[in-house]
Amino acid sequence: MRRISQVFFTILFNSYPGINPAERDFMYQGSLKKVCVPILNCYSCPLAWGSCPIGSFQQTLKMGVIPFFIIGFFGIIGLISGRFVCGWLCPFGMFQELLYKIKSIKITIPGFMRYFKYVVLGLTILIPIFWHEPFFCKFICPAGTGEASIWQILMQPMLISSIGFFFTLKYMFFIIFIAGSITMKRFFCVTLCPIGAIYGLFNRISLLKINVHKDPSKPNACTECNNCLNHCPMDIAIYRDTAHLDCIRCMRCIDVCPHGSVSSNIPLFNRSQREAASSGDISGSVSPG
Amino acid sequence: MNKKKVVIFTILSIIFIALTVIGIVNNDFLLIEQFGKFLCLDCIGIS
Repeated sequence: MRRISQVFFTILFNSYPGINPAERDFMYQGSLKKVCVPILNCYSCPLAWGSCPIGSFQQTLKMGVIPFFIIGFFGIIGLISGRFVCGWLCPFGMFQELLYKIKSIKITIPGFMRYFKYVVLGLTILIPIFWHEPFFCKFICPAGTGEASIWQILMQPMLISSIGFFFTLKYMFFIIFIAGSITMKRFFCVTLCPIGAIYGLFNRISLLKINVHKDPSKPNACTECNNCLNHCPMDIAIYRDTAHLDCIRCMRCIDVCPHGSVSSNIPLFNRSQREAASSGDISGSVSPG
Repeated sequence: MNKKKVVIFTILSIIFIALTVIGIVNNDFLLIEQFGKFLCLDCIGIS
């Protein structure tokens, strides 16, 4: 169900036929660009219908204007769902999950690296204010490189003459991003994404919640078998902290828990768990915990 | 949710709804549209 949702939103946000030469810059320039999508999606992508929230946020700050609407927009989405949009809507998250399926050496991201995205978030706010540069878009954003840069340059070869240091820097980072995503679970989301960092702050109080039943007297008590950890796209043991800053609410832990210990407060997400429990078919191995 | 979380949730909801309304009144949409409509040279690594 989640993959269908990711594909649906990828197409929904990126289905403009951007090859129309009548459009300047080979991108959609209509009134839908007034609307921010809730996830990382470069607005210079030839296929994008909406605007990128973090790009608009930085450009507004760069002009010395407080982006009230975007702050409110981030806050409302965070309060409703926490990082849910990262797991169910973000095309870039899906891209990383697909890259991770490539057979290679797999590495666990060190715990301290999880906090690096808050450094990136801090710089994403401060550098546009004090140095008037969109730090994240200019130096880091792999969505801009993968979704926009490659295609815009292919369609407008005259841009090649303007290539310089930042272009090389962004493509070097893009290669690191690809390598990181192949070897580490959602490398960018875990370590660098400022949008995920913002939404993650709301996981503790958001309306959408995950619960783990720990009462040993109940038959569905968690045994800490780590099956959830083994299947988690963000490498989290949900029984340790159900409101973990990095939990993207993908609900995979609900599906794979052999004891039915994990549940959500939204019944829709518990459906597959109930179906699996009733049929006795729960996928995934159980390692002693 | 416990009482403390409900209070924090309510306060933050009011703040963020207020910020969104201020943004709408300030016509933030027009700014966002201006950024989104034109090729972002920073995003594609040319600047």
